[in-house]
Amino acid sequence: MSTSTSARRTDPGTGPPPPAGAVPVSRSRAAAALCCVAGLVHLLVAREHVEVWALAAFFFITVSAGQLWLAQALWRGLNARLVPAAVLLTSGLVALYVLSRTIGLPIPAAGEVGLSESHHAGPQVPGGQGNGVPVLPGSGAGTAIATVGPLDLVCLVAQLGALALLVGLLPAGQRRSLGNLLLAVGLCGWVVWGLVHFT
Amino acid sequence: MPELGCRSREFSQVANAVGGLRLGWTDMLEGETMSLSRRDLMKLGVVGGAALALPLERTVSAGSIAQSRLASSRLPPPFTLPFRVPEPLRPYRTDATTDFYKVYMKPLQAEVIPGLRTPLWGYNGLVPGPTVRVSQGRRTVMRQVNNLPGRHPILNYTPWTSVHLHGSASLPQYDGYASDITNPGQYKDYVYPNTQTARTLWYHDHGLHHTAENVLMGLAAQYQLTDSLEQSLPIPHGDYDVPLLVSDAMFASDGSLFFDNHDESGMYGDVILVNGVPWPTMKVKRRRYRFRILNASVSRSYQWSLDSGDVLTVIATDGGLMPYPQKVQRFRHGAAERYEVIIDFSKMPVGRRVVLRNTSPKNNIDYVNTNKVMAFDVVGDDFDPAANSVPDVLNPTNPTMLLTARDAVRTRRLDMVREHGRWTINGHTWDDVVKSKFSLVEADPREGDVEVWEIRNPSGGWFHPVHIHLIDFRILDRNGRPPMPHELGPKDVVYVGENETVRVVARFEGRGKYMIHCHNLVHEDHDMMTQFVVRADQDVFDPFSDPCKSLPEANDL
Repeated sequence: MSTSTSARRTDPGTGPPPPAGAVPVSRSRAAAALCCVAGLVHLLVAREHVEVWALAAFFFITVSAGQLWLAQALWRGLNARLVPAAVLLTSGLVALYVLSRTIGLPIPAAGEVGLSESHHAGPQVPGGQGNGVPVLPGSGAGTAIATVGPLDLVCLVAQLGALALLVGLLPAGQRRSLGNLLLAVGLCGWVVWGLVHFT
Repeated sequence: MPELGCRSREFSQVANAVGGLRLGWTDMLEGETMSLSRRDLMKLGVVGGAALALPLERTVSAGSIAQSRLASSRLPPPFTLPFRVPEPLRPYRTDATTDFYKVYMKPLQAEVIPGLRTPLWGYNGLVPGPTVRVSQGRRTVMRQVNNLPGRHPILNYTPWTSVHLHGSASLPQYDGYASDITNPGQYKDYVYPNTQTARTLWYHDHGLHHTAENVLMGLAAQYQLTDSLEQSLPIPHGDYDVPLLVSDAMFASDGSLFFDNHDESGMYGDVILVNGVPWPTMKVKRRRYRFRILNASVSRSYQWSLDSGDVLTVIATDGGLMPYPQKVQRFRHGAAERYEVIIDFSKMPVGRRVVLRNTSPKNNIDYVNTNKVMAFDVVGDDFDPAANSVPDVLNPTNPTMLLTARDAVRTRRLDMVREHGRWTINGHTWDDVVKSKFSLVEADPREGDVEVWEIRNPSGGWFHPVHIHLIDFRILDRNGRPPMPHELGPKDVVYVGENETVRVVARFEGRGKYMIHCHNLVHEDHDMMTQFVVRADQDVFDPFSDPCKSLPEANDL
């Protein structure tokens, strides 16, 4: 089992090896740092989501808390049995991000604070037929698809890095299974993109 | 096939091949055996690449569909196109008390920029729309038919409309209440009492969420109300009483309008249009002319002056004739305000060109030729010498202009503030009004009450032309100082400049709910609009009490 293999691999000069069931320290701490970055970004953006939809802000605060908890757990030496859950949760967040920036989620987009559709997300126009909110070219306003910003990229890169490190911490069998699942999801994304653009 | 779980040397080879990865991974590993195989890396690469690339591609492609702005070299040079006056609108029928009009809002293609076709929307297919001229005391019924397409061709919204006759004390159900909308394929009969004093009004769209876009597309026109006093004055009438609808627009390379609201701060064009013509030239005879200047721009404010240095004599404001004419070298003019101005060309030699200039007030976005508006070329043709003067006294007994702060039973405050990206009045937006089921009001004067309203703009970053529906008001002071000379007349829009506090006084006559909003239409749409109610012993009128009907039209007009 790679768990025991991993347990044998410790940082040089860090003293006695960690207890059985814990993941390697250096990779674990690298993943911790990246999870911490992602958690802080989610905390940072929670505030602007408050203005649009309080539930979204609650979601981001929850995600942030989870990632910061994961970061400290990884830093201290996360039990290897929790690594698959961490991989799946991080993958899920990445998937949600991709959906929100490509086809949109049925929630107001915080990136559009100050733009039309977020202002008018709540009340409907009595008797109005269709959507009366103009979509200015290039603005993305009037749609639920958020645009990619610098914080998005920072958070995404951190999460992808953490994901890779966490996958690397998995036992070979789980790594293969989860790796195949991620591959399937990634391929689906590319296939859908290809269908949309070339058919 | 490589074996799963390769060792660090194998990974290092892969990492070497993928140069960018090497440093980070080897640093993080600190000499440990890497457990990711080449196959693992490929799997993660597929999913990571998708996660990085697909959202970025979506964002970039959304940006790439943005319009490309027409190069300034394609614009006509100023003063090369002839001036024109909007067509008059004739009644569909009349009876003893009422004039009935039919107006069809419909799309058109206009050659605004020579050589290019611009899709626009117009009242009766005209931009600007046709001018209505009515006499005080005769009621107007105006059927407004929304024959616009189901979707805006570029902005993809449903162009419902709500027609506001700006300057009219109409009942709430005929006032263009923003949420009282008419969808494409529907129509509504608006009733206007025309009981007020002579004035320059305008009718324009007020549909919720997209007033700026609908007005920019062309849904605006003048409506002139006359009365016996105005007709009796020896001021210019007829051919020498000229409407000027001034607006600005920007164009895309295909000739369509270019839409950019600058993060909801405003729409500013690089082309100044007068009656729909870029920087036109008007031939004028050697006499006085009266210009009814309407700032029909979405956001832009102007400061007018003549390059000859001659004076502009302001004789009327939004609510009609001033008590006394005011001679000014220049004056500031915010969106939706109307000023009637006399320009005297009688002393100018034939062949002289006089340019109406714009010294832009701050916080507009200016371009090369937005400092020019139109030119007047003096010609030597014969003219009618009648109605060619400006009396010293115009309308000294206008009741609005006789009001003082001492007449007020209370003072209210309106704070025009941008909060968290939203334009608000006293912290409220029109969305708040809608959420309250239209019960939220900022003020509730009783019918006949006189009130002072103190309107504050605490920001130095923008100005607000504030419009209060239903009423005419008198400006008492601006930052504690007397109003500017050109404002010494009855008003319904007041320019609240940067860091300004303006006090106005008004008598509230009428019943029901009416809107208060910034007439920078981008601010209005996003969402600097709220309402007040005039209370009365009898039932107040409901803005939704006479809704639109679906086509085909009933034969009841």
